[in-house]
Amino acid sequence: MKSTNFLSGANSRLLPPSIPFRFFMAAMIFYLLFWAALLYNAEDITSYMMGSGPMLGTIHMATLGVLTMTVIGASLQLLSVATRRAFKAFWICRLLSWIYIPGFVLLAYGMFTGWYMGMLAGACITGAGLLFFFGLIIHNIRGVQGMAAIMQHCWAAMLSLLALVALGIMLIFDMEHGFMGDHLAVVTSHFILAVFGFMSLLAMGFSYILVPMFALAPAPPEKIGRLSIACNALAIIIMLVGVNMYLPWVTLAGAVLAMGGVGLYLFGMMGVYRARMRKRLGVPFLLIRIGWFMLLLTVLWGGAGLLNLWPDTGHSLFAVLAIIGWLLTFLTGILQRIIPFLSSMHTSGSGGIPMLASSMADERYLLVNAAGHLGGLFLVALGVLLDWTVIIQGGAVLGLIGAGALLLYMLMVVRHMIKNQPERP
Amino acid sequence: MFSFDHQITRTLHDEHLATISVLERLEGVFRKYGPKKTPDRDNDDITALLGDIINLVECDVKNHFTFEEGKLFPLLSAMGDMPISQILTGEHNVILPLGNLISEIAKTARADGFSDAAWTAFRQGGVELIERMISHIQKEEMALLPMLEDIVEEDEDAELMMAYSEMR
Repeated sequence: MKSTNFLSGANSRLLPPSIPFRFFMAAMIFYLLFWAALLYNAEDITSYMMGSGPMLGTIHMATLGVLTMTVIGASLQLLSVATRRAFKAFWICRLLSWIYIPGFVLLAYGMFTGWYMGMLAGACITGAGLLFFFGLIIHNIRGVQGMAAIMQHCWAAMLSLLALVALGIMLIFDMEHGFMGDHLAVVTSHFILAVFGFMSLLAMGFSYILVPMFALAPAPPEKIGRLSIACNALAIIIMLVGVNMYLPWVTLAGAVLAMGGVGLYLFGMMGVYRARMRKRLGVPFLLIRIGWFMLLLTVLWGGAGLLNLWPDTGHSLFAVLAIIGWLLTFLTGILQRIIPFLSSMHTSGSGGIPMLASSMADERYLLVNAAGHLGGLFLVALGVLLDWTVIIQGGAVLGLIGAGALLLYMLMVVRHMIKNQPERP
Repeated sequence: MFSFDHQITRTLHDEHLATISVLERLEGVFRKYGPKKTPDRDNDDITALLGDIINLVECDVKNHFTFEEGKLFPLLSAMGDMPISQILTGEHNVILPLGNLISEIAKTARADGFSDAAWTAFRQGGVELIERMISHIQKEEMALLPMLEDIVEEDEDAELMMAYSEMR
């Protein structure tokens, strides 16, 4: 991929900070609540397969509350700069938050308490918010010239989003009316589309912009990104066919293809990392690199499951590796890097001395966040593997401390940003 | 590494590499010597680093910035991309005085060593310089140099390179 001059004119395409930061702030709050919910539900994590209840609420606290929330904030800001098509109607972006965030709160509450009508209403409102997001992104990326691999990731992720929203609402209907022949197959499809189709593809696609930018390195060759997304998109389709037609060998073929796609992505990212100009990249890149390792582990563990090599708690460990290990670790690293970068862009210019990111908040909070998150991940994964509740609880406490540190860091940055807003012409 | 075809972009990129290398060494010294741990006068590594910092500010900062403002930003303005020039010029206005301050302290320290007060001032300024300079280089590598690759013609590249060589 050519190292595009995508920062050119970036200031004129920055959204008002309240737009991305409202999503980031909400994500940080739900990140804290996720660990708290995991602490509360530690006993159920290894036995949960499907159905409403606190565990369903806990999982969605991570996926919709933290990951999707972060992805929405980052996509709106990043695509605005990368495609050179600024989102002009800011009220639409704000409206999206007013629909999505309360909708998700209702959905999570409904899931947690097993309140069917709350779940259904919450899912419909959250789904409407996600369709709104789908419309905004498609409008932005349609007809974009260049950055083919990144755009292909966005298209595949957005199509997955449509499918996962439809399946999610149908699954809630099915909890009450029981019209589905195989609820578990649809749950598995919903999981594949959400975790791998929507969130992982967006995370991988945006990596091709963000990782070279933050590491001061050239972007990987375009063909690696294109081949990777081709493998991953095809793998998702094949796995969905395999799961729904009860053909394990087809699902396994899809998983093998996904390993190829993930391998290509990681190969490209390793190339970027090795060629970086800045050698010391700090705590955020430690999280990003561990996230990459966990992605590899996730697909390998998934493959082991398809070969019937999992222990009894293998399915729970798979979810832990995919959601906490890969996605949450990677996105936490990206957030640690993107929050100070964006905030310093918003507090600079207009004749004033640009603020230093490090002067806005104590960076030791980021270290506490990383230690808490990684400690939490390790203990939760170990606890799940051993089916030992107290270890999972210990991990959740560490994760909670880490999440609290990131939320405090974010609050300090936002406070400084509000105090040091540049005058807008 | 980034692959640039023009001489001028390659030269500026190489200067960025050299700058990052010196700044990372400086960062290493700051990690080793905290705010209250003034280095001894007879530390050869630090004496050598101070020489590199003085040289960095004189050559890779002052000349580099003057050249960009005098020759390159007008090219961008002519093609209608003012915002990036304005952002970079604004950052030059902050980084250059900071670089001068660090360079002056470094010159004194090379001769007489650091007093506690001088070390505190050097460390504070140095930490700020590292952060601002890395962020600045990030913008130049991601925006300025790729844009120059697109707009500068071959003969213009040779002229710019000659002008820059004369300045240095």
